[in-house]
Amino acid sequence: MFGICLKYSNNKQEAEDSLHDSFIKIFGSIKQFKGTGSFEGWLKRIAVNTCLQKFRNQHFLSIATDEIPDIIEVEVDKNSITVDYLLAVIKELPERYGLVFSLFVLDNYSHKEIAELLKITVGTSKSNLSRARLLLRDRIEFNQESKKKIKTNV
Amino acid sequence: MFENKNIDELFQEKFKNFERDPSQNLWNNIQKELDGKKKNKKRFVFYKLFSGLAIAILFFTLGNEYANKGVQNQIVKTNLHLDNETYKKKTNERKQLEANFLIPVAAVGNKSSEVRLNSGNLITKKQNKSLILTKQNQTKSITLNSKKIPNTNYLIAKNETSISYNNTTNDVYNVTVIQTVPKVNKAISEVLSTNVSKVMKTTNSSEIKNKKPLKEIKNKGIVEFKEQQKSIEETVKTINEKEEIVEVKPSVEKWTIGLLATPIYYTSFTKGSPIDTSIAKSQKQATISYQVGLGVSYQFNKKWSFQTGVHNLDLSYRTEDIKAVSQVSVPQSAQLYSPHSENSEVVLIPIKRVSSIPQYATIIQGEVKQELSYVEVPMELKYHLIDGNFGVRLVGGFSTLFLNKNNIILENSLSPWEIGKAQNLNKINFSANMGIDVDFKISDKFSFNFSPTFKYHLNTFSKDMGDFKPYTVGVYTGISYQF
Repeated sequence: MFGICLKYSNNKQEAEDSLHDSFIKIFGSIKQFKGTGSFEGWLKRIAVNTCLQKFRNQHFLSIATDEIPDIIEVEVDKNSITVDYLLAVIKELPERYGLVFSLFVLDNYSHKEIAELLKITVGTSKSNLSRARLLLRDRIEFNQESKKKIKTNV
Repeated sequence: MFENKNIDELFQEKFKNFERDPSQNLWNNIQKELDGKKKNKKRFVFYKLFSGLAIAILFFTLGNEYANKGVQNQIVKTNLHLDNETYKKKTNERKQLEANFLIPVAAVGNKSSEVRLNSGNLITKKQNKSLILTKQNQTKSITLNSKKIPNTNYLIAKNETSISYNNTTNDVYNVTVIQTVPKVNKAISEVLSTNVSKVMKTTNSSEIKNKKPLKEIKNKGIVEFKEQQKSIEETVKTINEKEEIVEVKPSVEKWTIGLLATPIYYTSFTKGSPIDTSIAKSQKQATISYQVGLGVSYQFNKKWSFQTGVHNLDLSYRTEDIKAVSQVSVPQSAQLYSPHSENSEVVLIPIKRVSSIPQYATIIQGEVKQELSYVEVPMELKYHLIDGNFGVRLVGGFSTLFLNKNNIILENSLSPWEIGKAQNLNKINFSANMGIDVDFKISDKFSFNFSPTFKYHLNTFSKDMGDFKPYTVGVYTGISYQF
């Protein structure tokens, strides 16, 4: 669960706060869990919701999107990529893009669910996702480029 | 190796089974917060349950009542039963009355007419022509000049009857009446005389001159007398009925039972402290507590009722800015003892006197809260000022209070510290009560009560607390049921 909080918070401190709040919520409403669906899933949802509450009231200017292809490929050396690096890269994105990307790609939320959670439209969610992918690709490739250069230079 | 990878897949693969551990402190903090919440929850649940129950009871009884709506305010006809003797007597009287109805039967003869009843008794020997009036049911035959008169209704006049009758023409005139009925039925005789005088009037000289046949007169007479009879009957009936109807005063005696909930304000007239005189000068705060209970009242008179009941009275009283000092030996102790350590006693010192505390003492600062709970049994008299749908009564009396719960708690920033029980409270004490009770009738059986009451507590403390004289002011609200 802390992993989830890390994904959806700006930093470790915030993540810890959100984890704390999540557990308080869980112990408080444990009776409401009726055994339908997975317990783990329920816990995760509470954690995600708690984290996202911090973002809800923030306004975010969205840029008009051009047509972006759905499938985006990135040229990488898989072995040199660590999960901590990817986590950091996501954090470098504009906040909402990062949230949408994580929710969709990492935790399998649908666009409809994301729209409800973040109080945006489905269309916005989709375009945010595409934008996020593009930006992530550029970032990662740029990083990989530097690595390439280093390697070749050595 | 560099390769092209779908960005989504890249992330998903790397984030598979992504877990991290938070710092150790986190769990402690969560635990602390949860413990804090539990206590509040318990209290809350209790109040919720109790008020829910009270509301449920109210709704149930109210709903029930509205289902059987019907306001009865009429004067009910008597529940006065005539005992057999009286009933018989009255029936006989009535029968007698009926028997005394005068009904004209026949015209009688002239000078030498003799009227005999029941083939024997001479009734009258009138010179003038007269109309025989006989008693119903008492005569079987009348002979007139030895001629039998048809036996329809015979009535005889007790006293004198004078009628004029034209034998030839059978005209009847100049009929006067007659006191034939018992004195008690004055009305009947009035009726009689009124109606008969009608007959008299109609059988006037003019008609006589016209010489109407007896039959007609007779019919007329009879008709009129029958009408008269009818009205006599009605009159008798009315009189008889009148005697039977007794105006029933709505029964005054009644019981009332009610559920009450009250916010109570508990404080003292003077500025002392209920716990110890040493903290008499600290800032105190009266709190508002709640009381629930059951009240029963009995109205034994139009103007007076007696009221009692059982109430649960929870009171609390706060003293602010207190430091509690736990010491090994203390020269002057308050009437408290601490359960925390056998050898030490707790002294309450107002914050300003902190400098007098020796160094080896441990000090906790906070607010002292005294919680008391009594079972109260009031006994009061109510005087009814105004009655009806909106009632106002003056209430006065006293209550007996039985001490139920007695706690002193020191509330501070860490967690409440139960200091113990006050040793200076009497287990039984009394209060003098005074108030006003306002009553609104919701329906025939239910009413809504609203009673602001002042209660001055007497001998609350077993030892002289000097300056603390507690009283409560409460507004008792509730619903009551009359039966």
